[in-house]
Amino acid sequence: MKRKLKIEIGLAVLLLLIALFGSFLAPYDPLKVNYDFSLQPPSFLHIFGTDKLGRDVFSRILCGAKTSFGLTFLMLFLIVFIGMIVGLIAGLSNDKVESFFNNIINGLLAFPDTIFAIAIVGIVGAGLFNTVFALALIWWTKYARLTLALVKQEKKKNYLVISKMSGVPPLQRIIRYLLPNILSQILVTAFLDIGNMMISLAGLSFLGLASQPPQPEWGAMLYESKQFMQVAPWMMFFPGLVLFICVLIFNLLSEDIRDYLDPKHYEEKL
Amino acid sequence: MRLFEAKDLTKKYDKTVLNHLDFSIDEGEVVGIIGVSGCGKSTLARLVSGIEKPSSGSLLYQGKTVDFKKSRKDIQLILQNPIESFSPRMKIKQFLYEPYHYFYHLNKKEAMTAIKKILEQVGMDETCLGKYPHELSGGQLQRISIARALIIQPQLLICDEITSSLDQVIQRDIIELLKQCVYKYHMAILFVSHDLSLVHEFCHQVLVLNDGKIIEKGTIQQLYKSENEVVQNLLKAAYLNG
Repeated sequence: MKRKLKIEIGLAVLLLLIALFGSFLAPYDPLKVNYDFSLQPPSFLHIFGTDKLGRDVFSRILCGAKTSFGLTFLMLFLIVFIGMIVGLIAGLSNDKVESFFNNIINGLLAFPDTIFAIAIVGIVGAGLFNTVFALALIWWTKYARLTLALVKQEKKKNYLVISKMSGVPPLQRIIRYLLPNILSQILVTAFLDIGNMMISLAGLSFLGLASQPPQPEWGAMLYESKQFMQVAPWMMFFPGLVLFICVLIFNLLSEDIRDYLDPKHYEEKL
Repeated sequence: MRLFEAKDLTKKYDKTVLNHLDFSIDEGEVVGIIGVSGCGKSTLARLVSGIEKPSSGSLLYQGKTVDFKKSRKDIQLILQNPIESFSPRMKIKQFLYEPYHYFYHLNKKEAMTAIKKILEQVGMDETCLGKYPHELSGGQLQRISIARALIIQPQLLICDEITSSLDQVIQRDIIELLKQCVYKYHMAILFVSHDLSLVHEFCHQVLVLNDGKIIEKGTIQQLYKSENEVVQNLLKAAYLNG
């Protein structure tokens, strides 16, 4: 395994550990209001400063990681799983079934995702899980379409014919031949989407539709900071910086994971 | 004894690719199918191997309509471009283990001993087992494809242009290997090729296909006497190929 990939995996694991155990590492209670320390700039006491209610920004970032990551991975799992199942069924079925699923996918893709999510959240009410549900309702189509295209491409390849000749049963052909050959592209897309999803969730929180106060979440923290952008820029800078670093790490990781999962590509690069 | 028979075989996509073909293959017989590109050779190979269904006509195996699910072990196929016959993410040992597992229900340990013996027969050694397909040459992969077929020991082996992407020296090696298979296992072979110089060496019977129809049928000596223009052109090409 390449050193760069090892470092990226290490950083991603570190982020996940922070997300899991951030609340234990937080020096202050992220919800505790203290007006005496309102809008304090970064200092030894509060390394990322404090917000308008005197809450420690660093503690809120640490605790918010769990919400931001948890929701992102929950949504990623949902959309990849649903998308792959639909894509496999459509790709391996006859033309009529494929066309049926294609119409559904195209119909849903016609909606602008954020507007659609806002509309759904408007109907079912604001909240983190409602937002995840609204975004998942649209975003699975991307993975269904990707899986469908990959299945159609792989279906033509001779190794599937030969595996049939070797007596491999249909389900095993899908699991052991087809899936490993399409999975790397799906995983890379999924890893690339981690960044997009975090930003989208943050965006909806920024609009006040996802995370609700006083729950710490990075997007919501950016939302809260917008009134104080000029008097307390640290309130926006640090959550934004953390979000940027996370997106960057997962984007870089996705590229190298693709290389690693493709034995040919990986060796060529060595 | 008659092993395989095609009666009035027709395949249509947008247009008719194979048009009312009749031919038969006896046990241990090597039948060559030759013709220029696009004449329907590969479609024929896919029909005979059960990958595709004919539009009309019948395929008989040992006198009965062939049930490809039951006869999978008896009718095997080796394809043209060797690298495409292997899953890029599967090591050679797994590729060769599959037929042992699914046809003979052997465990990995038992299969490995047998795989090493088969590899010897096709002129390969066990070092290839831990490799991925892209780490081997086209000739080596085609030998491994033959090894897979030898593991299954089919009654009928369909070879669809299996030497077309290989250089001439390797082509000869592969032909020699197939000759040994026929001699040792009494295997019937349907050898599809566009190159008459390859089939003349070991085919008992040659069918010349043109525009989806059999235009000439017989031994290679009989073909030499043919006055058909297409056959003459194939003979000329074979002469030029050496």
